[in-house]
Formats: sequence, C-alpha cells, structure tokens
Amino acid sequence: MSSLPLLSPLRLALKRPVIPTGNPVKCGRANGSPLQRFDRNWLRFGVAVSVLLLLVAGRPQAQDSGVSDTEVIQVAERMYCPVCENIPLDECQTTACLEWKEEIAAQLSAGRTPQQVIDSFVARFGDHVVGLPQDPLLRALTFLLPAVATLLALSAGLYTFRRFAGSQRLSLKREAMAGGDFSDASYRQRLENDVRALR
Amino acid sequence: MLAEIGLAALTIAFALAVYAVAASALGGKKKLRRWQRSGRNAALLTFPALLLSTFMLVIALMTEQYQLSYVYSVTDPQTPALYRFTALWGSQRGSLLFWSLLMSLFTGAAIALNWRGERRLMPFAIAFMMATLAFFLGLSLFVENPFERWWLLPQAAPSPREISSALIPPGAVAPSEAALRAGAQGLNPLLRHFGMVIHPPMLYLGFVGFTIPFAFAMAALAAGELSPGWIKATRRWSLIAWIFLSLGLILGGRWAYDVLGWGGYWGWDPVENAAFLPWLVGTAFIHSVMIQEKRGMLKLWNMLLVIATFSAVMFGTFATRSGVIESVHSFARSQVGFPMLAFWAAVTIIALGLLLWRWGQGELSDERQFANLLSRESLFVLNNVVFIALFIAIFWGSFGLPILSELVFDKEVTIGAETFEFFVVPLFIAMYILMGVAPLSAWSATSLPRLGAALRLPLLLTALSILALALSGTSLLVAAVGYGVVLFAAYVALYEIYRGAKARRQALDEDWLRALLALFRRNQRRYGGYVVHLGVTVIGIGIIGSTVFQTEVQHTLQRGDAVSVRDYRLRYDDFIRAQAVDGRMMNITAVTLFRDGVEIAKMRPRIDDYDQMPMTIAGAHSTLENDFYVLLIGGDRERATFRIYINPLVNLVWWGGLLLIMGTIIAAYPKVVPK
Repeated sequence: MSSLPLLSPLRLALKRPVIPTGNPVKCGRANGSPLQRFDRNWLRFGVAVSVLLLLVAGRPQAQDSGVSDTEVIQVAERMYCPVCENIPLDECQTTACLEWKEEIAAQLSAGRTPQQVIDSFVARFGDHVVGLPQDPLLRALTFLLPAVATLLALSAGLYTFRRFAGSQRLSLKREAMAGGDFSDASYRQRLENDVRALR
Repeated sequence: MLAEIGLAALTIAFALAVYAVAASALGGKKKLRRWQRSGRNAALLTFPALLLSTFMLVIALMTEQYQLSYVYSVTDPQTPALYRFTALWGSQRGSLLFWSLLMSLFTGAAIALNWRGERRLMPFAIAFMMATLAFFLGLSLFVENPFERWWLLPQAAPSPREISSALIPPGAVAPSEAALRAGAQGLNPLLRHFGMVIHPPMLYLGFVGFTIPFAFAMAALAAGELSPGWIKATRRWSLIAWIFLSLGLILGGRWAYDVLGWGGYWGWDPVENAAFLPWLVGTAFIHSVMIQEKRGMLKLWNMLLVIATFSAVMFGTFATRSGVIESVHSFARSQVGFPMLAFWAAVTIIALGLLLWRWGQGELSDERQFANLLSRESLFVLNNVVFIALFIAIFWGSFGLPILSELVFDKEVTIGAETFEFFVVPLFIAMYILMGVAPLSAWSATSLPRLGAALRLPLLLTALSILALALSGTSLLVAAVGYGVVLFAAYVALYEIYRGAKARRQALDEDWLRALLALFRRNQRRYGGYVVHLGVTVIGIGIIGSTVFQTEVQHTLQRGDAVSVRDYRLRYDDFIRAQAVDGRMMNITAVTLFRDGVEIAKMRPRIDDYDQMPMTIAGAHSTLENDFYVLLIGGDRERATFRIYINPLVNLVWWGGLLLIMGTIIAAYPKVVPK
C-alpha cells in the first residue's frame, strides 16, 4: 500500500494536480521517463530546468564567438552531461549542458585546445564528465581488468586444449604399445578380416 | 470490478505457480506420476489465469479506468488507442504482469512440446520455470501491483488524504472520475513510437525464452539425467529466444535512431548493454552446444553458459528495473530492486552449486578430447573465448567499474563509447575472422594445408574487394581492415552455400534454384547458420560505413539560406508553430534537400513540446547509400540551428538484421520429416 498526496480539493482545480509517479524531467537523449519516481524536490528542480530549457531552446544558438557549432560539438561529444548519467554532452539539451557548450565555445575562442578545454572541466567537475576516468588508478583498472580477463580466458582455453591433446596422445601411444590401432582404416581392415573369416 | 477480477486472477496464478513448484519437485524427486501430472496441470493453468488478469488490465487501459493508479500513470484522455494498449508494457507494474504472461505462455509451450519426449526432465524443468514465474508474480502481487486503485480517506487525521491500494481501505471512498481524468499523466512521449509497440515485447520474449534452456539444464543437473536429451530439448528454445532477443536489440536501435535524436543507433548506454550481455553469452552457447551434440564435448562449459545466460537475463532485468543505473530505458527507482537482486543471486548460487555437485561426481566429463588446434571444435572454443571477453569488457565498463569506483573510491565515473570501442573493436575483428575460418575447418582434425586450400578463394575475393575499395578512394586503414574481415566472413558463407548447391547440381542434375532449396531443406541448421552469418556481415558493413565515414555538422541558417554538406545542400524554408490533437506544441521547420543542384526531398525536422518535455523529431532522407539526417536544435521564423548527419550505409544495419532473423528462423524451423 503506498500513500501519495493526490486529490486534495485545492489540487483538483488544476489540470495536473500532482504527478504521482514523477513526470519526466530528465535530459539529453532521454529527456526523462514518467516512470521514474523522483521525489518532489527533484520534480520541482526538473520543472524549473524545463521552463528554462524551453526559453533557451527557442533561440537559435549563437555563432558570434568565432568558433563554429561543429567545433563545439566535436569537443562536446567527448564529454558527458553533468546532471544526467551516461548522456553525451552534445546530445543533451538541459540548461546546464547548453551553458557548458557556450563555455566550450568561449574557451575555444580564447585559443585553448580541445584537450585543454576538457581538462579544465575535469579539474572542476570530476572524472564523470568524460568517457574515460582521468584518475590513473581508475584508468588502469578500466583497461587492465578486461585485458587480463581475456588473457586468462585464452590461457585457460589453451591449457585445456594442451592437456586434452596431451592425454589423447598418451592414450593413443599406450594403445599402440599394447598392439591396438584405432585409426579408421585399420579398424575397417580388421572388420573385413573378421567378416571374411566368418564366411 | 475489472480490478477485482484482475487481482483475483493474479492471486490464483501465483498460488498455482507456487503449487506447481512443490508438486513438480516432489513428483520428480519421488517419481510420483500423479504429483508430476498435478504440477504440470497447475503450471498449464497459470496461463489462462494470467491471460484473464492481463485482459482486465488492458480493458482498464482501453476504457480509461483512471481509478487504477497504473492506468492513471501511463495514459490520459488524449492517448491514442494503440498507445493505450502498448501502455501495458510502458511502465514497471504492467510490464511485470506482461513478463509473467509470456513466461506462462513459454512454459505451456514447453510442456506441450516436451512432456512426452522428456518425461524424466519435465517435472524438474516445470519446477524451475514455475519458481521463476512465482517470483515475478510475487513482485506483481506484493510490491508493484498493477491493480492498485486510488482511494480517498475523508476521515483521515489530521486531514483527508489519498492513497493507492489494491484492497479497499476501511472508510475509503472512490475519488471523482472528473478529477482523475484531469490529473491523468499520459504515456512517456519517448514511448509513443511504433518501435515501442514491438521492441519491448521482443526483448521480453528473448529474456523469457532463455528461461526454458536454463530450466532444462537445471532439471538435467537435478535429475542427474546428463545425456544429450536436455541439449536436444532446448536447442530450438535457445534459437527462438535468440531470435526475439536479436529482434529486440535491432528494433531498439531503430527506435533510438528515429526517436532519441542523436544520429546513432547504439550509444553503449548501460541498459542497452544489459540487454546485449545475455545475447553475447547466448550466442556463445548456441555455438558451443553444437560441439556437445556432435562430439560429446564441453558439457561443463555448456552448463556454465546456460547459467550465465539466465543470470545475465536476470541481471539485465534487475539493472533496468531497480534504478541502480540511470538510462534512457530504465524504469523507476522502485522497490523491486532488492528482491530482484536477491533472486538473481540465489538462482545463480543454486545453479552453480548444482553444477559443482554433479561435476564433483564426475558426471560432466567429456566423451572426446580436442585433437587439433585447427579443428572446428577448437575454433568454436576460440569463438566462445571472444564472446566471453566481449561480455567481460562490456559488463566491466557498464556496471563493474562504475559501481566499484563509487563504492570504493567514492568517485563517479562514466565509461564512454570510445572506451568501449577500444575493447570491442579488436574482439569483433577476431569474431569475424573466426566466423570466416571455422566453417571451413573440419570436425576433429584439419591440417593447415587443407584449411589453407579451402581459404584460398575467399581470401582472394577479399583481397580483390580491398583493392577495389582502395581504387575507389577509401584510404582509411581502419575501414580497409574492417571491411576486409567482414567481407572475408561473408565470402566464406556465400562460398559454402555455393559449394553445397554446386555439389547437388553435379550429383543430382538439379537446376540452381532447386539445388539451393533442397540444400537448405536438408540441412536447415547449417545453411540457416550461414544466412545468419551473412546477416551479421551486412550489419558489420553498415556499422563500419555509418561510424567511420559519418559526417556531423551544426549550422545556424537564416530563412531562405542554405548550407552545403558534402554533395548535398540544405535550405531552410519556413518555421511553423502548431498544436497537435494530443495537446503537444510542435515547432516545425520546413527544409528542402538538394543533391547536385536537384531537389530530392522536403523534410520537416521539429521539436515537440509535451507539456514540460521537449522531444526532437529528426527529418531523414533515406537511401541504401546513406541517410541524410537533420535535427532541429532551436529556432524561430527568422533563423534556425540544425545538426546534420550523413550516415553512409546505415540502412544495411536494418537489412542485415532482417537477414539475421530470417537465417535463425530457417535454422530453428521444425524439420518436416517425410512419412
């Protein structure tokens, strides 16, 4: 049983009195999901972001900084939204991301290289704004574990193969020493000999 | 009344599933036929009970019964009838019920097809299937009930309040219909797309489908019946599940391409990856199971793969529904997270425990051994290593490292597409090479000269193709290598089909069409598999073309101005603001596309504003050669900003997907045995 404030008389006067499961105010590709139960503060924050977004999105983006939109995108696509997880910055349309893109344009027009721009954001906001951790240990972990796991899996496969192949060679050798021959041709020959003998 | 009937049917289905687990396990263990039949019948009855329950929810959705809090949360009076229906799987509670319905349907089909043939395994298999079903029904009944209704408590202290409850609370009254209609929320706009009509059911069918091979594998371990029977019983189920999962992934890509407005179809998003992980292990299983069937090898490994596939399915379901990760696709942070995690852990531990027990008793030893590193079985093992390496890399990047980093280092990290590509590109290259070499290798043993001779023609064709690409101006090394390995795998598949048809023509004097049809009919699995390989190579060509050669630019245009992108020219003609019948405001731009000075298309990229939620709808001009894909970023009547993508060969991704599905259907289609 869940309890949600829904239908108080005051709210009934509004078209959308309350949104019990949280209406979507997320960003980027997703733009959110009405399935998500944000708490009320998130909801209010989201509504505010959306209103701002609508105001900003209505304007074409300025190109008067001397840096083209395409150059900004090329940097933004290497970064991620500061609010929404896993949404690339170039796809995200929240106010925060639009401001970041403006800042990227400003830094580029000030003569900074794309890497310097990215480094400045990482220094201020942390590793999660780029698609690869900048912390040396985390970066090493990112690459090492899959590589080590793959090598281990390959080694295990090769070891199993060599063990099986070795044991098979050994068993064939023993059979040969005991006078046994299990190749198809000799087996067929022995069968034919037996059949001939029966006749 | 709808809610009462739906709830009662759901409760009955839950009771039947629990009973079926107990009766089947007891009947299987004690070899009591009566209990086995009773368990089977209870399992069969879960389907009509769940069908009734789902039907009630669908009626409630279609007839706007907003007192049901589920209907209230996913529809509103403006929602079109189609999306009212698809709202069944549009949110957590409905989709859990739908998941259970599909599970009971698959169980019924497995019973109908395998009850006579696999009598010893079936009671245990039913017990495992019903245990999974009972878990999901338990979630629906006790955690995320789709039949909860809104109630007003006028006498509540200190002031009247509203609650959502499946049962009628004492003193509660129903809220007014008008108030409910006014407050209803409607479906997430992202889900109002034809892709969403079929994408989630396909994924669910794939996920649920993999429960059947898992249940049979567990039954084989529990009953100690480790003959190839369980493999034969589940081979087709694995392929069916694989078809649906593949279709779900492809449709998901198409939906993302059309609706999410970012010019791509795969973003290495954690939830995309969560659905991709069972596909990877399932694909490894579909290959390695052939070695067990043909050579009696890899018994332990196949069991591990079945367990890993089901475990990945459960993990994917948990990841999508628990809120542990943020994503486009994820459901709410809901209360199902912990029970799902517990179920996933419990099932995996029990399965591994059973496996270790049987292994310890020496019941999973192989009948034959690897003899040659170039034999087909050895190459299949290598193929499995590649798939497992892909699985580990993607799991680590999507879940392992982000969770570890937050728990241990208290740092949020994002693993982006470039990082994933660093791992997966070499592994996919290895996969395509193996896809080319393995079919030409023989079972048991192949000598290097013999394999070399078989590879000569496909390698020659590949070299000629790369040369042709180089002469046509493709100078990028990465593209040459990519196209090279992909084309090599394609040539091998075509060469094998050609060789088979040619042999029939020579031996039986058949014409080409007849020879081809007979070839496919006689060995559906082998030649269906080659069609699947062809599909994968066509997808590969599409992926390389649309990523390596993609063009992406952004421009702001004054009305009447045009911009040139490669040999295209895009002109901004007009801006229209209009309101749709469902209430959303649409900012529509009219643009005209020219190629070599000739008008080829008029497009309407737009931004739809669903109350508080803007959604970008791309304009696209699609040909087999490429897609000209344009997004409106913002604008007004005087000027507008557009992001333009040219995605070469992107449509091959969808066509390849179709080929892949066709091939799997050929391979899985029941063989017609002449009387």
